[in-house]
Formats: sequence, structure tokens, C-alpha cells
Amino acid sequence: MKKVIIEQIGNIIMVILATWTMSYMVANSYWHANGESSFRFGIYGILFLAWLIIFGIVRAILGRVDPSFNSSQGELSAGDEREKAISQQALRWIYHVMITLLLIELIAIPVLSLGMGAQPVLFAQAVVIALGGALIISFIVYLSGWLYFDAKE
Amino acid sequence: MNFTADRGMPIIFVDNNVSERRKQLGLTQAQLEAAVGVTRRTIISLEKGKYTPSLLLALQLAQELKVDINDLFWLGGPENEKSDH
Repeated sequence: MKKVIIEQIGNIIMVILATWTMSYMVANSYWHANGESSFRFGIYGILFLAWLIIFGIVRAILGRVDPSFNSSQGELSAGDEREKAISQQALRWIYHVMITLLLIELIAIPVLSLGMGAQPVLFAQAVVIALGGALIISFIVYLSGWLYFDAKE
Repeated sequence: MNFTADRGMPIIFVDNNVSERRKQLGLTQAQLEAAVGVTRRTIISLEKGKYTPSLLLALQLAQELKVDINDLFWLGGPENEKSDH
């Protein structure tokens, strides 16, 4: 259970920082038709890279402390058949939530593009936040599902 | 993970006496967990009857607890109340 909590909290922080970084980049970078370009990631980009390093170290330590944690499998690591069954049930929750969110975004993003056509930066930021938000919600749902089924079984 | 049926069908689940048998043999949960290669929570959940093990794990437990699998696991529920377990 500990490995799933650590992994999912780490993933959530990573996606929050990635969303901030991309949102900042969209607002402060340019790519002109003549090929001239400039990409700025700001402090968020540094924080994102720093978190990737810290999270990598945390995962390496976790792999040594908890033999049931497999860094290549991440939150899907299972110590035994019961944990594997719990992961599968939590994945079902994620599937339903992810499909629902993507369907909503499939409809909302084109509608937003019509309304925000004159503000391409704002529209791009809205798309980044929508995708980042969907990922964060999915991680939270997986963690909640895992804790729920772990307590239930 | 007990198997239940709805729409008027009887509730069916797998009952066990893993806890009793383990205590008879003087084994701790930690020893049993190490012997069959599962986590402590799985042993606890199994002994409480909340988790139904796979056939492979059930056979491993029966072997480790030196008992026939039918004496360790059996079908529970209203239709199996007269069981001799």
C-alpha cells in the first residue's frame, strides 16, 4: 500500500509541475513562421526537472526498502496475487474516469477553440490544464480505488 | 473477494480455517507469509475470510499447513450450513 501512495503522490506532483511548466512555456515562448523560435520554461521547468530527480531517488530507495516495488511497473507493482487483483480493480475505475474525461474534453476543447479563437495562448493553456487535470484526476482515482479495495478485501 | 450472486441466487463464498490450522501448527502469520510468498495483509485478509485465494495459493497453503485442501477451504453460505467443517 505504501508504494502505491508514494508513487501516486509523486506522479501527481510531477503532473502538476509539468502542467505549470507547459502553461508557462505556452505564454512566454514563440515559434514564428520564418523558423525563429524561443522556448522559455521559467522556474517551473527547473522545479519540474528537480522533482524528476528527487522522485527518481525516492523510487530507487523505495525499491530497496520494499522488495515488492518494481520501478519499471511503478504503481502497478504487486507483492502478491491479492495486490495484483486490487490493481486490476483500481484500473477499472481509472478506465471509466479517463474515458469520461476524454469524452468531455473531446467536446469541450473544440467548443472552447471557437470561443477563444482570438486568444490562442489562453486556449493552449486551457488545453494543457484540461489534459493535466485529467491525468491528476486519474492518479487520484487509482489511489482512491487501491485504498478502497485494499480495505475491502 | 467473495463470490456473490444477485437476483435471488444464494450467496456463495469460500470459507476457511487457515487461522485455526496455523495456530495448531504453532506458526505465526509472518512465518506463513514467508512460506507461501504473500504479504502480511493477504494472510490477515484471508484468515478473516475477506479474500478468496487463487487455486495455486490455496494449494500452497494446504501444503504448508499439512492438510488436505478440502479441509482447509470449503464453500460457505446458507446452502452449505450443514457442512461438517
